[in-house]
Amino acid sequence: MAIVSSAEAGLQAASRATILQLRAPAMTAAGIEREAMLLVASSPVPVLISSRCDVALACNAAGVNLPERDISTRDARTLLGERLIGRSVHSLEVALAAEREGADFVIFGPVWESSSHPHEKAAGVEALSRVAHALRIPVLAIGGVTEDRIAESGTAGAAGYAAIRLFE
Amino acid sequence: MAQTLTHADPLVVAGVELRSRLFIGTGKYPTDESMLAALEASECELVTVALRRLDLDDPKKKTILDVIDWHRFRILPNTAGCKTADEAIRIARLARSMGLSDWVKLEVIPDPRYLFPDPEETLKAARVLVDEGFKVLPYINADPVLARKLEEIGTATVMPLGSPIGSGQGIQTLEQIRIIIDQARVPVVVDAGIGAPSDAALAMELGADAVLVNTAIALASDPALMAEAIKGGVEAGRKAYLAGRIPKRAEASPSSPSEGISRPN
Repeated sequence: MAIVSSAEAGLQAASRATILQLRAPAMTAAGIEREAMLLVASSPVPVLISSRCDVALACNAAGVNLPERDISTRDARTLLGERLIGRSVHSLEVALAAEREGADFVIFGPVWESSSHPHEKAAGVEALSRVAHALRIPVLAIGGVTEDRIAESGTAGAAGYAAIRLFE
Repeated sequence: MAQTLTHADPLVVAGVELRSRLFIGTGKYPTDESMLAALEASECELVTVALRRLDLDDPKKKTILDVIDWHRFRILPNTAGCKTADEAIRIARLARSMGLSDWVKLEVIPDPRYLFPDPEETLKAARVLVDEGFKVLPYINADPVLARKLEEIGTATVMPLGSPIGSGQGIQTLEQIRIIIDQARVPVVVDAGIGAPSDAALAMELGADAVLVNTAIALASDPALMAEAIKGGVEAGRKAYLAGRIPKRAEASPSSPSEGISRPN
């Protein structure tokens, strides 16, 4: 999963990603909507919108990825029906709760030190492995993912990975 | 000879050249071992797996993904168990997001008794998935109009049924399948209903590009032997199609020469 902050960046990353997540926390809702419209219309892979269920519905996106402190997965499911709902999680407890509430997948991390979130402490591969083995839904690794670490996260049980830098 | 035939007559689906015209399903086998033996004996390349079945209660239990050597077979995820377009779209997207494959055998089946696919929902899901770059192989009733519409949307194949899934009734939709084949510019894969090698051969003689078989092999007393037998049926049918069968005639035509021979006194 490539996490991108604009439609243009999304289209550049799309050839190397299996799914895109549009995440632009500094942008206005109107700005996110504009980028999402463009991206959904032209992306060759499914597009998720970070946090904004309203934008996901308005733009007919494949779904959302909810940050840990966003609205409940259950409420998002009520809004989004069969669209994809992912949840970013930083602990096993929250990951298990997301699964119980009907998330389609979780993104766990940061597994390694990440330059995009320098203040967050790395959870490590063992923690990733614990989450991946405790959940039935797919777990994606995030945080400091590099080409070399993709295989490592797979061995730990992750179904895939999400990244910003790797796709830039 | 089979080797020569394969080389001279490749099946290309979504730009990928496949070495076998027999696609195999992975449901209903009594054991993993019997399934692996059947895959081996069938010499197939494309193997379809229900995405729903990967959602297991015990995460540590081996799934079909762990059992099969995916370096030797190409996975075709299917949406069996989905009753609506939205459900099928969701699990296809999820599978792809997790890096499984961008190919999907689209099955939208609301009816548990006959397991007939829903044409409206299938068309709707195909539109969305093709748009998102999926290589869509839709399972459909043998409806030539629907087949054309799907092809126009951009599906990689059409997969008309011969008779209901698992019924082993053979090719009951022969005339419609003939029309679908005649019209199609994408590969036509006869999927469902094949019960024996003769059914597979008949589909291939008609000019189908491939067949998909599951129950007839999985529930045979000896799945591996049946897989080999159906492989033979597929190859025989394909060769017959390429060779050009004679037209059917109402009257006899003697096999022995009747002209230019001397008559006894």
